[in-house]
Amino acid sequence: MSNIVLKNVCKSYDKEHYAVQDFSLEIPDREFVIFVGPSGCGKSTTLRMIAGLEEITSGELWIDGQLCNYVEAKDRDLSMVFQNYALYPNMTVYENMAFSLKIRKQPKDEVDKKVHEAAKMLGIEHLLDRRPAALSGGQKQRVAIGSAIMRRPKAFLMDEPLSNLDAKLRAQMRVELAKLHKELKTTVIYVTHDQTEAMTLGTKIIVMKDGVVQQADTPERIYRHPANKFVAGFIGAPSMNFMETMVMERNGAVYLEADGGITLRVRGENEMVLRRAYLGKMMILGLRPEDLQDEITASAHQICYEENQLKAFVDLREMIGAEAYLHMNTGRNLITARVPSEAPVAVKESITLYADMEKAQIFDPFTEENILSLPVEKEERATA
Amino acid sequence: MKKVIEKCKKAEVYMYLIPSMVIFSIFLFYPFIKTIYLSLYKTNKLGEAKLYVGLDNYKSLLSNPSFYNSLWVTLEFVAIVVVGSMALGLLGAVLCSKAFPGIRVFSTSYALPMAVASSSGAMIFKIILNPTIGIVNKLLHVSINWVSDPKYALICVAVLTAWLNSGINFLYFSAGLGNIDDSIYERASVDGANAVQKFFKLTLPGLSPIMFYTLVVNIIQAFQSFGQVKILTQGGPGESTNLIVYSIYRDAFFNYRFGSAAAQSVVLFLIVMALTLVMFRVEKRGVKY
Amino acid sequence: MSTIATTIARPKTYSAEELQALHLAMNAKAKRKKMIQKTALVTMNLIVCLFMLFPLLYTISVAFMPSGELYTMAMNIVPKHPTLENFVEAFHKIPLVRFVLNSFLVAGSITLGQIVTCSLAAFAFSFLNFKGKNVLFMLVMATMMVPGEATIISNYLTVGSLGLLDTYIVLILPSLTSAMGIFLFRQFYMTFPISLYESAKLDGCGNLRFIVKILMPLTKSAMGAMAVYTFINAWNMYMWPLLVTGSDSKRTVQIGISMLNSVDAQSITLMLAGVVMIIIPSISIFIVGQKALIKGMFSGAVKG
Repeated sequence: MSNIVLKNVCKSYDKEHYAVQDFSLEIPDREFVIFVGPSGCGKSTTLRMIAGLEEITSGELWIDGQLCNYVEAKDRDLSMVFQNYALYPNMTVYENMAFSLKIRKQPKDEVDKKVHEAAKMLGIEHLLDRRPAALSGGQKQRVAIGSAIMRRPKAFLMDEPLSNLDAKLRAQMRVELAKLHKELKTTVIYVTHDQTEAMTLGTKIIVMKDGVVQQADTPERIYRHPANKFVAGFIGAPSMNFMETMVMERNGAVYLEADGGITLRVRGENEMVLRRAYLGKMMILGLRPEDLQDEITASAHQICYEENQLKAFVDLREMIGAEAYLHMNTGRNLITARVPSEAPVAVKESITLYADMEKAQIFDPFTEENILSLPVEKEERATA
Repeated sequence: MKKVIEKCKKAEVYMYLIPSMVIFSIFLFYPFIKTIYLSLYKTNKLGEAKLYVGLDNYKSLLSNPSFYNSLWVTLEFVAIVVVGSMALGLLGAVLCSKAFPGIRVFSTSYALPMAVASSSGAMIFKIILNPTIGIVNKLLHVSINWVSDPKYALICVAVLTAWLNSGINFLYFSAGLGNIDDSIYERASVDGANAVQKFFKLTLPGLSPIMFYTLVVNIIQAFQSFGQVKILTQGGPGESTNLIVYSIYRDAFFNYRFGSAAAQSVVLFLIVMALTLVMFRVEKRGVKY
Repeated sequence: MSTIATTIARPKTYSAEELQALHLAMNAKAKRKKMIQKTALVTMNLIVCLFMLFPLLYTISVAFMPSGELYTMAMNIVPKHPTLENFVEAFHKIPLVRFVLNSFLVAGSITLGQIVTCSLAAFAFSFLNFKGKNVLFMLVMATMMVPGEATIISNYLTVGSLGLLDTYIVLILPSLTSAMGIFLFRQFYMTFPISLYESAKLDGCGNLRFIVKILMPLTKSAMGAMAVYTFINAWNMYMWPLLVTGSDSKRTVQIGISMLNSVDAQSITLMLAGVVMIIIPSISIFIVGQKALIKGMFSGAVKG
């Protein structure tokens, strides 16, 4: 059991600029938490503060009800996998894995048993006598993970553990990490800059930018209800399409009008939000590429109405496999759509697409916040 | 004509080697062979080989207790110097491995002995160790005649040499420490290791490649110590500091027994070579990364 | 975000004041621990450093002591009446200026010579192909194993028979190249791709020009390291100058200074003043060149 709580944690090196600002998070046991964000966003710094490798400038770190700000790294009972693996070069794989147990003076036969168990689990039994210099990147990675899982620490910390591997190996290790998490039943805190890793592995994702948490939520909600334009653009590939639109009311209905003659109707709860405060204002519309659909797909989803229609000029069709990405322009705006690869598309011609306005996001152009309320807040507002 | 140019071009390649090779030939290869040659002869006072005696010079060395003494003294001396100078260098390097205010001054101080000449160092030690006015006796409140007492003389020369050689060892070890990846210390912290465990399990093994190199260099250097002995003890008292190099010097330039001195030179060379080869053999087996 | 902060349940129930107090106490403790660690480190450094420098510091101190002050049984680490007399007298007793000039000439020539011969040889060993390259290189490396003292007698006899004793040439010539220098430069040259040499050749650049205009500027740090190391070692040479110099006009400082050692037993302060003066050049060059030395010696050459 472990329960890690960060409360208003800040990190500053020069007392003026903050590398991490007001980081607050509760991590219940067995969660797979991902810190994701562009480089320099403070995600690694936060992880290192939890590990005890960096001092916490202000705020509190609680591990299992104990204030841990000043507890030394070696006494926190965590284990960590580093980006460069940090294997001890002078020790064999076996000794590397046994290190954390040996310095705790555990009985030899027990250590031996655990090393072999972990090695078997990771498929590195045949490497136990080798030294790190004689291992490939993927093997080093496994040894690093193996060393980390020898103990049953309160949490595993992983600092971009897959970033030094090639794409294929990375995909493979991702699956294995997910399996491992299920088997070990322990909290994992994982830092990455790769949104795919974040989405596939995490049970909870913390998106950071410039030392500030942008959103902390489940992968689904982060994807479907990004808190602001940054999160919306960072998560998901290809990125979300953004269009500047005017909020207009016509014949009792609310429309978003964009450059290139695009007029899209907004319905339901979203319509109410817009009607309340935003009529006549300029807003940013965000649409995921898969929510721009060709006619066949759209009719299957029953969104094939004129009020959802938009016309665009196809600049390029990128064939991916089952799908194709259409890179298009609608005059001033460049947009991307994800359509089935069998959809008939002619390049350098106009195409009619249908927007799934149910899934559209609308952002304030100045604060860049999502003005559509998140489901969480709706519930809370109801109870308050 | 073309052929001549071609040949010139070929010859040009060797031109770049000529300066070094000529000097090596005159002052290293030739005297090396000449030393072996001399060691087989009896010589006159001018060092000219006069009478072929075969291995007689070696035989008389091997039956001479004074020679065994100087071999033994040399080994003792080398052992103390190597251990001492490496320990001092390592101590300095470890103390300077973490940044703190004034680190530049300290690291310069630790490396400084390498700029001190053996003769200057010996003169300084001579005063420091002086039985009546020496500061060491005053500080320790003893009256030991350091360099004239057979019990202490060798240790004094060895300590002086260790001090002189510690400077460059400091540089070697500092470089070695700098080569150790910081993140393995971080991993060790998270793994639960304390400072002592980190030092013995990570720092020392991490230094082992450079440690080996330093050991070889130190041993070779220690075998060649001369100025210290010449100025501080002249091989005495008795023959307690009669290192092999000093013994060579004395045999050749005081006793004019060039043949015997040459034989000792050959022995010195053989010992150094054997030690070096053994160490490389051991290294191949020991340090695997 | 604000929602996250408010939903956090505090694991144990501390009141705000208790929390504040706990924070302050732990903070103070951590700060104190850090202070103690840092102070301990600096103190240790001070002690060891003082121990290591003690012989030098004491020498400087004695050099400023009137000789009467040294000859007491009382503790006398620092001169009570500092004087420059020892330095002045040292100049009178022995031709120190001459010795220093000799040493500068000898050490300077050796340094310059080694840089030239070693870079030429290293160039051949790293960029050119010729018969016997590997054998020659092994031979050069093997010389590192031969202790200089093992050949010194034969060398002495050689230069004696050539009538070169007591000349500058005999002081300089044997040290004009070094296996270590060749090795160090070669190590640096090997980091350059052979295509650097080939493209220079295509541009019509001769070998010598290539060395002077391209290789040497690129290996400044190695040359700096070599220069500092060689100069200090040449300045500190002892056995060879002792054997081959006989007259004051050719003596180097290390031999010259030991003359003070034997002038008369009463002049210890004088002797140490002399020692201070001859150590100053080598130490200043060391301090100035320390960075270059470390950069050059350890960036490519000695890596495990």
